Amino acid sequence: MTDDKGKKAVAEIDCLQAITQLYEYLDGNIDEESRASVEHHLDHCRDCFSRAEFERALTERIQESQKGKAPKSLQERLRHLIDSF
Amino acid sequence: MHLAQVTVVMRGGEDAKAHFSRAIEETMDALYTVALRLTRNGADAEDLVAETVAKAWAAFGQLEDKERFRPWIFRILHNSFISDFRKKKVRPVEESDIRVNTCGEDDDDIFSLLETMPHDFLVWWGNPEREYVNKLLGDDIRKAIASLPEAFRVTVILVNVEGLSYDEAAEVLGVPPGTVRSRMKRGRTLLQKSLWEQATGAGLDVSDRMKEGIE
Ligand SMILES: [Zn+2]
Repeated sequence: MTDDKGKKAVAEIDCLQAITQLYEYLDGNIDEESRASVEHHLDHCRDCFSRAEFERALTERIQESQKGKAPKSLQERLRHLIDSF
Repeated sequence: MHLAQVTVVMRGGEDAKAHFSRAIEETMDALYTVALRLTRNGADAEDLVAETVAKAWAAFGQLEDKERFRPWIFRILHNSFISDFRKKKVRPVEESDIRVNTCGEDDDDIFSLLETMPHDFLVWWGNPEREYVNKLLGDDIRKAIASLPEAFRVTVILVNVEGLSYDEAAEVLGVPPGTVRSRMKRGRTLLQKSLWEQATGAGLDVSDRMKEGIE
């Protein structure tokens, strides 16, 4: 979609449409056109912007709390295993 | 058939093995992270990762695009869990398994803590300098993640923690990408419901910490 100046016109969406696509947007699994629409909505809607910021923070907390490190015992076990191949 | 595959790998000689070894070093932590969320037991997780690595080496010659190593080996891990681990599980789960009351897969409403109590929750949430709150918060999230039904738990981990795309996660789980999309929505919704239940439930003191954070 382009307007007469040749710039990409952004399709206006409402809050429900924005929220419905929010995770796809935040997870980076969205097509370019929809991404632009959601972004445009977030720039103009305080409620949805807050919601998006909240979901981002939640994702960070999930990452912090879930990222694990292979224990030494497993590291050694895997190295021995690969040596034996 | 199987011997022929091994021969292909062996022909690569040191290169294939060195490549494989490096790839494992790079994905080890991620494999363990996902395995732990699946098995919910450290010893089982280690066994599952070791089994996965053995299977992956046996099939490494069949992986044409080595850039796709991560989703490929996650898929082997997930399949091993489904076919072997879930059935012969002997060790008890280590994480407390809090029940989530509402977990219908089709329920499409999007529950948000933010909508439920926007101000108080945000103030509580935005208190990262309070170290002890932060630590407990990690526990709260761990409990909430542990309480998710397996399908949602593993999808959220693959996408939010290990950074797989929806398409890659779909490949790992053997489901259509649309299923990943709906599981993410539902999973995140259930996660927030669980956090909310912890915050308001009797005997749990999250609500007190929320008040402290606000004062
Ligand atoms: Zn809005």
